[in-house]
Amino acid sequence: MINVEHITKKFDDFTALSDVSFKVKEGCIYGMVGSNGAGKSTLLRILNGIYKPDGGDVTLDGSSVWESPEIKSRFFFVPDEPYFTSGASIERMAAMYGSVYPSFDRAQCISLSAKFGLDTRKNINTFSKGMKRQAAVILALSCKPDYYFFDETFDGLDPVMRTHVRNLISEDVIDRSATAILTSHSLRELEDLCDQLALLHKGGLVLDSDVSQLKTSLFKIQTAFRDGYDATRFDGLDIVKFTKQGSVCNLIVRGDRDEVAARIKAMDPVLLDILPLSLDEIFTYEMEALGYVFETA
Amino acid sequence: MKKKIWDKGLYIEGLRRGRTMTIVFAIIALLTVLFTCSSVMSRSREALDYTSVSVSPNEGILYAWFSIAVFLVAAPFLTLRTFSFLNSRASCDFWHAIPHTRTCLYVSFLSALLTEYVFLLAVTGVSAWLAFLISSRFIRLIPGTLILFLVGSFSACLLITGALLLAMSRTGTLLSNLVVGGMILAVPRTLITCIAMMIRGSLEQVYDLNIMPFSDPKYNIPFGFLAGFDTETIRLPSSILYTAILGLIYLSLSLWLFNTRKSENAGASAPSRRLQAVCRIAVGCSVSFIVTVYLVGNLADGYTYYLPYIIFYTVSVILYFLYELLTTKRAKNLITALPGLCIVIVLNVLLGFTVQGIYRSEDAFGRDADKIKSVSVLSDDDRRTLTLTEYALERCGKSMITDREVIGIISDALNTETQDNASKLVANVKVRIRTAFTAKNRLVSLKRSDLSKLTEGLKNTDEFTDHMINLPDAVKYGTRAMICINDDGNYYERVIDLDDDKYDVIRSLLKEDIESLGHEKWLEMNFSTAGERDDRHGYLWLEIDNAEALKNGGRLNISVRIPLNSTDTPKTFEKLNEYAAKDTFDTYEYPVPEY
Repeated sequence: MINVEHITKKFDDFTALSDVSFKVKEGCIYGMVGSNGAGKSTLLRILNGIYKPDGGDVTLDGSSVWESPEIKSRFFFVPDEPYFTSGASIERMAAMYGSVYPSFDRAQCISLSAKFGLDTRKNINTFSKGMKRQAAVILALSCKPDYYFFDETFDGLDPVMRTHVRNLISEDVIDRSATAILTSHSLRELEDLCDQLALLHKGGLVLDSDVSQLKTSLFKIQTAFRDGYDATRFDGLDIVKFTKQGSVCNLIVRGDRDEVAARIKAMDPVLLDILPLSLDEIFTYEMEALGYVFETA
Repeated sequence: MKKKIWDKGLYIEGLRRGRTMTIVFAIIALLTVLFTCSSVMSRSREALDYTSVSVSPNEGILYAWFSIAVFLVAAPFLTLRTFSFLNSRASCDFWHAIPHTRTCLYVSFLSALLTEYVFLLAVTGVSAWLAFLISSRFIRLIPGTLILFLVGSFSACLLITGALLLAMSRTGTLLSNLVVGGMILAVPRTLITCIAMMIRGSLEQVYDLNIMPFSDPKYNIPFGFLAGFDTETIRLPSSILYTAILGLIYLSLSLWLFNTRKSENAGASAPSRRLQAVCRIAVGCSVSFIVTVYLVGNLADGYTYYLPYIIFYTVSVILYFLYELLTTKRAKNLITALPGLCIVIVLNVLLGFTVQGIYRSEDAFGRDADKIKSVSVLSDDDRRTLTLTEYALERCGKSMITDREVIGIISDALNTETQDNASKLVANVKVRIRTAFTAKNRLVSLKRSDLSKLTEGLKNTDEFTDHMINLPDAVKYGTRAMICINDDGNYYERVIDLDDDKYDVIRSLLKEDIESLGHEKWLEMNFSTAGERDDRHGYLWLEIDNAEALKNGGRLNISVRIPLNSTDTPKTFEKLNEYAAKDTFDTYEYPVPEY
């Protein structure tokens, strides 16, 4: 399990990350969303031992990641701008990774390259942006690490390739119980893939929750009553947001769905609809509740 | 996975990074060797065509500088190429993400870089050896010299790489790498040299740049070469050692900085505003310090023309702001850089006082006879040829003289104004003065009576006689002789180049002649010029390896002239006459000691 404890990172006067703490369990897909400049890439670099935090520590099973080849050999980081050595082909990069990752699977690298239609002997730096990302994913999967870190990896991929890559990551996580940590500025991209989601905003982790729990914990109720009423009628419920138009009101409520429905029914409403929320909406409401203004992509 | 300090995979990757550049430099090195060789051969042929008088023995090294320049260019290019990943965020993150420690990354890449240097040196060494082997009829390669040349080149590469890596471990753009690396490499040495040159220029008793330990620019091979101080120091063991040790210190420091370097520094001229300010102030000081040094010297000399100083101080201010502008590309930063100028001014004032202190200390040195423990007489290293007597005197002079009278003469000479006694002074003598704490070289002007006291004392020593009787050990390749015969008005003069076998024969015969003549007569013959009036006389020139003299700024080789004549040294003279008769140009072999 990766344990991130009170991470702080500053670049001169700018605080990129401030007191960030969370845990990533083994075998899950952990998604991290946030707007540009939220600190996602910085956090991934700290998790991989590339950047040294100014405060706090990142540990894997109790050992610090910083300057630990043993731990780093279980990690693979695919950055937002994949880097390949000058003039390198997939074959040459495979040879290089093979010398540093003990579990590197050359056969898988060749087979995945064939599936993606990439020439393993061609200079990667002549590839298009999307092809470079495909090559980076192929090399990452071939290294067979315990932990993957993908930074905005789906950017630049067409919808077909995006689905293909998502499936490959999911399959690898299921087959080998690997753990994947992905970042994106788009929640929709991660919604169906991740088991756990975190929201970074202005260098702080404002939300970190299990996706299934998130989806059930917050829901929308549309209700109406014959008499005049206001928000005080719902005292006792955990109301995140209350809006009223005429006699109909919309409530964003946190809590047990059946219990809340029973309590409102007891108020004799003329209308009662319970609607599920998309993750986008949940994040937006949660953020608003925390006092943040976050525009979803 | 254990923490390794070197990894084969990374090492190979490091080699790949510099592969193309190394091949290009190897080709250039090969061409320069061939050029060197063909040039020397061509000059030798020329000499054979016209005369038996050879070309200057220094020319070999002059051509060899082309090869040295290859390394001085190859080292920065290869270093910047191999460690260029430090200047780009994507590549820097990539290399820091792979499962190795930073130490392992640094050591593996550095070892790849050093391998490339060794390869380039091997190409030069082997090709030089082969080329000279093929042309052995004309030129002879001295293996020891070639090895020293190669080791000297390698130590120069170490120093350049160390300085650049030191800069790259903190800065993150090519421009800042070059500026900071260049400053590390050149500024301290330039400053020390300027202080030494200023003091040498202002104080007539100071004749060399050794005003403090290692202050002579010759110690630093790349600096010495680029500043054009001397072309022979690359073969001098003390220069090689100093350069290599300084390079290793820089490399060790850069390893430490590399380990603490932030990956996010890539692409930024400096990791923090503080370091940016330090670099900017260093740039501002690099010129202004030199101006301050000369200003102090000229003030001491009573020189009051200030315009050049104002111009150069203005240049340093411009450079100060220019660095900020070029590295940050923001004009508004020029305003925030303004307070840093005060630090530049304060540092210049501090330097001014320090230099003035050094100046006074140098001026006062040796004036108090009570503080002098001993003196020794040094070679007049500017002279290429010495008589045997002069040679023996110099060798004896190296011994420490503790005689209080001699010490008093030296001290008095330092306290005497040269201009006031110019007519009475007959000789400038280089001496080394030792006090309880330090030893320094000085040039003193002595009166005839004082000089006689100094030399007569030396001539009466056993050491002097020993040098005169046993003759100096010559490096065989430089032995040459001349005989002059005046046969009833027909004057005959001939120069004979002696190969190894002939040298052994002549040396042995001369020793026999000296024994037959008797030591006292041999000394008399050398003290006087009577032998030269003999109708059948000559000279033997022995080339002496004078590497020790280089420490004091002298030449590597000196030639010792020994008089001969048919009466006092008959066997030697007749043998030389015999060689002269048999000597043909076909057997001529030109030694190239410097390369």
